[in-house]
Order: sequence, then structure tokens, then C-alpha cells
Amino acid sequence: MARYTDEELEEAYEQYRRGELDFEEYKRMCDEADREEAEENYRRKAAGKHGWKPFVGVGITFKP
Amino acid sequence: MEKILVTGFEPFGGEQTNPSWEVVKALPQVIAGHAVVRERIPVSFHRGPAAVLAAIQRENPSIVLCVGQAGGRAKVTPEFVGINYADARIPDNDGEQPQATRLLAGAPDARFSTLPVRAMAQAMVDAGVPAAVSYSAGTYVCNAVLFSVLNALAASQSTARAGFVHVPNSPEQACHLAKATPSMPVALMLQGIVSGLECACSWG
Repeated sequence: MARYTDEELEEAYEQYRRGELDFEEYKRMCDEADREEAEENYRRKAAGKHGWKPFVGVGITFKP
Repeated sequence: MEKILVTGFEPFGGEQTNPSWEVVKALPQVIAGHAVVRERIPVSFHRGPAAVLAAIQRENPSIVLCVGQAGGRAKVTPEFVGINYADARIPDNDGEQPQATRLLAGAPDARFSTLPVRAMAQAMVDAGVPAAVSYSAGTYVCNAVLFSVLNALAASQSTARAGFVHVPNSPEQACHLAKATPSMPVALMLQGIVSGLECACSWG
């Protein structure tokens, strides 16, 4: 699930326009939303091409 | 709600970022009552235009604005015309380097932007952003995208209006370039693109 919704980004943009939010902070939110969308698109494409499944995890036990 | 499709490019030529995408991803969700749809497109003579045309097919926007980087320019520049010609100084991101060749056989030599470029440039200037109309989008992928989109829309008799805006290098890029290169903060580019799109939405 995306960290920022469209509504949150729109509100952040308005705050930036009103001078209540630094551009760098607004840009950081946009960058993060873009990165999440790119990762989601990559996962979707990979799943379509190669039957990708989410990585669950592997437990490793070290014996003394 | 009507849609505006705005595209920006991935990095190319060894750069880590492309200011066109940096500014497109910072656009607001809605401009002048139009929903903004973004698309990141490849720097590829074949895949770039195809990606924009696929997005147009999918989103059915009333306005299409493609944004690209023009290193060496100091202003935000709405492009007046796309030409049916390619001459690449460097390979695109697929390794293709077409030289002195037509983009589309049988198509016109040029297509004019269907966006109000003079008014858009003036709207940008009025908003405090250095801007001017450009009469050459070059002969690289940016021009290929502009010409291909305008030609496809004209051929399909679409009512969608389309155009292209070049933005300068960002200061982050200019810092790493060997020779003196003009640059513009992404926040200022953003103001320019928003002002230009507000103008385009209210036009005619």
C-alpha cells in the first residue's frame, strides 16, 4: 500500500504553494510516491512475465 | 473530469537524473479542473513515442504535454514545431543512433504544436519563470516524441491538443558538468509547467 495517497500529495502541494511546506519536503514526498509506484509496476510486470511471487523469507539456524 | 497527460523522460547520456521527470512527478494532482496523469517514458527513438501513444490510447486525455531536458538552455521553452527528421549526436538508451533520416516515411515534413505556445510562454513569464517559445526541438528523441504524437493525433483526427516543453538542466546536474551550463531549480520549472498548463486548459 502506498505511503502517500493522491489526496495527501495534493494537500502537500497546496501547503507548498501557501509557503507552509518547503519544496524539498514536498519533493521528497513526491519522490517516495514515485519510487513506490515504480516498484509496484516492476512487481506487476515481473509477476506477469515470470510468475513472480512475493518473497516471504528464509530462516537460517546456526548450530554451535 | 478531463485529463492532462504529462510525460517526462528517464535519465540518459550517463546522467543520474532527468529534470523533466523530476518536475513531472512534482506536479499537483489537478490543474485547472483537469486530472493530471503522469507517464515516465524511455529515451528511445522507438519506445519513447510508443509509450506516449499507448498512454494517450489508455487515458484519452484532452491535453498532452511532453516534457524533456535541453541541456544548455537557460529558459523553459514551449516548442513550436516537431520535424520529421532524426539526427542523433549520441545513442539513445537502446543503443540506436539514427542519423540524417526521416522519422516516418510518407508523413509531412513537420507538425505544429496544437498548444497555445506563445500564450503559455507568456503565462510562465508572468509567473516569474524565465521562458520563451522555441522554434526547434532538436533532432533527438524529444523531437521524435513531439512529431510522432502530433502526427498520430492529426492522422486520427483527435481533438486532443498536444505539445512539448523543454526544461534546462537542474543545478544538481550542472554542478557535475565540466563546462559552464545554465541551470534552473526544479521548483521554478514546476511553477513554469503549472502556469503553462493552466494557460493551455483555459485556452479556446
